Amino acid sequence: MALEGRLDTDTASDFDKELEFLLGTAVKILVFDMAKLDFVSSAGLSSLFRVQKQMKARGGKTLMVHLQPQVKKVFDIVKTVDLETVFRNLQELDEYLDAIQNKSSDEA
Amino acid sequence: MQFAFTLRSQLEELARALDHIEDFLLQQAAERELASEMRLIAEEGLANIVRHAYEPDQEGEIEVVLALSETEVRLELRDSGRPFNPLEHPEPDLGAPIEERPLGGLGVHLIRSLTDTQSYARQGTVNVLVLVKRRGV
Repeated sequence: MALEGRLDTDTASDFDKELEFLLGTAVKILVFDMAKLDFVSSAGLSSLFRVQKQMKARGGKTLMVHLQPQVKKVFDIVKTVDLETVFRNLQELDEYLDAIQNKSSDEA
Repeated sequence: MQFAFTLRSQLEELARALDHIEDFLLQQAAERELASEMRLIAEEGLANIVRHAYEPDQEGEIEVVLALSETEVRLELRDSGRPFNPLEHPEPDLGAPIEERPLGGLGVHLIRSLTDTQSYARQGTVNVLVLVKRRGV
């Protein structure tokens, strides 16, 4: 899912509604492409955090790629995001997904 | 340079107020990053006031005074709601794992982290919150 513009008090509830729909499916891995997300506030963080919480509860994962520097700065300040779920680019993400695939097949 | 305006204490009013703040700073040739951070600081401060200072059915106003100098940006937020100091909100427990962290409390933490000084005073029937961010120039 690609995010664009601002995720703030104004836009967070629209985002929540879209996620509600997505979370109604059997989705196991959610990937947020943040390349075009310019701004996030605590309202946006709360929404993302809520999604992470719900995904974690069902044994799923939430991953975020291409965070812009000012957005990453805000995440760093609140440490809401698990470090293992933030990636600089799609290659890192692929490597991570491979790693967890291998992990689950090892455990099978 | 100083810039002041008033908004109604409603969440729907926030976006426009924040645009005013960000646009003013950019017009004064402030750095993009500074304008964006001030927008965030203002959003957190204003959202807190809108949610806590006035009763839901109360018609309230918030006054914003923004001052920009070579060395700092000063944001003052004034409202006539009940006595409310957002800075007294407890800090979130950032070390706790995801499942245990409450959803709220992040806004004040952001304000504290992104500003250099924060002060609150009750002046008569008015809450006055002053946030100052030093500039890197």
